[in-house]
Amino acid sequence: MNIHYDLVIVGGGAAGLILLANTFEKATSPLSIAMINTGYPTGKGIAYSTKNSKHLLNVRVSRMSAFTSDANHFTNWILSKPEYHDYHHENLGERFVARKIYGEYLEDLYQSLVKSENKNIQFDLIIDEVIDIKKTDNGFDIKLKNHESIDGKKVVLCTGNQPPISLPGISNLKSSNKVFINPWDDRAVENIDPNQPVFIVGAGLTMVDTVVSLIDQGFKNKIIVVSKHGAIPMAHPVTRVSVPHPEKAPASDIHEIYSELKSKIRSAIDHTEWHEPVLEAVRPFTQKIWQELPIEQKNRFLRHINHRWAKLRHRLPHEVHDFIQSLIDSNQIELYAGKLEDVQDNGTDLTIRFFDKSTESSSTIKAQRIINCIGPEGDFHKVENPLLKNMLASGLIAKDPLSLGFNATGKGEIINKDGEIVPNLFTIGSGLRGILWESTAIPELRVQAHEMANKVLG
Amino acid sequence: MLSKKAKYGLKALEYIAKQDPKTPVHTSAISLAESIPRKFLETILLDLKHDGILKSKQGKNGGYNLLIPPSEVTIGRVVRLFDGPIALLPCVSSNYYEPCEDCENEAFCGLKNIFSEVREATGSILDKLSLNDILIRERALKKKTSNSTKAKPRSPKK
Repeated sequence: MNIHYDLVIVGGGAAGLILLANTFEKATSPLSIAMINTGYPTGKGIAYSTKNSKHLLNVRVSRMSAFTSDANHFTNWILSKPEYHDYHHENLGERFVARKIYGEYLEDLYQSLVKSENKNIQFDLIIDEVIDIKKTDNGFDIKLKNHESIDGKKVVLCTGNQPPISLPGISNLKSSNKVFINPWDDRAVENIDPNQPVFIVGAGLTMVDTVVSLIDQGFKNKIIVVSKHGAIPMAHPVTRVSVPHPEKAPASDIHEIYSELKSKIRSAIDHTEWHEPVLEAVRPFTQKIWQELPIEQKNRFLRHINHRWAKLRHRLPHEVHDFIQSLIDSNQIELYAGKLEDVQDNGTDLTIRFFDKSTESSSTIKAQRIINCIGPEGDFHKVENPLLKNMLASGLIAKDPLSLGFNATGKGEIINKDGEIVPNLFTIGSGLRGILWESTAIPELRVQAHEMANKVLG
Repeated sequence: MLSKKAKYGLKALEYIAKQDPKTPVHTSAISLAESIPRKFLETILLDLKHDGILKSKQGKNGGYNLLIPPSEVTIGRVVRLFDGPIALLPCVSSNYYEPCEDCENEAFCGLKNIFSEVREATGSILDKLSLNDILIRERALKKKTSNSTKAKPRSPKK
């Protein structure tokens, strides 16, 4: 007979930990919980495992608490740490601190749970990989790689972002030690040759992290960045700008919504020089707007508007933005709008051909390596995670209509391949991107974790 | 490879062996110190109790103690308890011998001959060494490390 838990949290990154913390906070009757984690330190996941203190959070301190019920939890944690006295300013809440610091916050939070006084909870951390989950008569059979299977009455999948599995537009590339498909692998920025350029595909937040890591180790050669639109993310204002704004955009046509947003952004920029207040005002409604849009409108958004939205939405701390801009201005970063066409490994270096939109012609460049910074794998069916592959194959989970993540209800209840809600199988976080659109950052995660804790305890 | 159960079992026994033999060791202390999921640990400790290696005491100050001295708990015994035979083929096992179904003549089997040697070598280590040896080795390794950090070779004077 398998060991049984009332609740099994699959994944011990930020989402899993914040769910665990919210469950600890609310549990008033006995409950056994297992959290299964592998690969990255418990609580930190891929996102907060960086050791580079120049990798900053893209969200202000005041919005990073793990608890909806205690908005200042993270702020107060920093204030309690003498080692971060540099940050102990009046405007700490407005600042963008290192992701590493947030990782330490999550680690501390985990330690406090392990030593918690909540006698109702019996908690086990299992360091292992979940290979498959199958429905049984009274819950789920959870197959682990290195331990015997366990039973879970309720299961929450907190599997997070999946690493990309291919270079955009290149399907026939043979394996090469100069091609880094997964930018989150530390090796992507290790053993850099100072004498040859580095080529990066994608110009979003992952590119920024990668460039920061390269420059941090004294890299002075060229960094060629090619992305579809050749634009880096915009900056957050130094301090938060707030102006009253209408709360809700009409949910009839995505282009109407977008043009209304644009006009509001223009007026906000006229008044405050920043577009941030409009995005802040619309953010609480993004999930609702998205869920109400018909599928063809969502597809139109992904095709025509997403890149412009991403540039506005995923803003950088101003100091990081200015740093990247200075590298562009000094020509260390060559930024192109275009498309990757071919990558050849010559043994000593790579020959990379890309289409340059500005000249409407192809260019060829030699580089020591290519790093894929297009972000998490966008096609759920392509992911290589064994658990997700096995569950997709058995039909216990299915992809959402846009193929961005799990098919689920807006509340995180998993919908199987027959279109039925699977009782007691849930998810929070990045896997709900197709359903909620806005579902990866801490401000959304903690709300989901709070609601999910109520659900699993109910 | 050792199963997680066998490894957790050995780590738990090692932890218990280090504690005061008169005070029962609580499951949660072992779980916390050795990072063993508690529910797994509970079944492992029960198996060790049923095998006569541990004894338990119920109640608030209850827990587990060794029933036999650490020097008598061989590693082989613990490994066999959780993972079964240490032999890699059934025909070379001394405790669980079975002929191989596909074997024509055991006496002339080169494979058996090699794996028999492997079995003897493994057995001679696992059945000779005990929980006590784990503790002795750990102390020796720690001593070696602390000596090597203390006694840094001086750089020759130029």
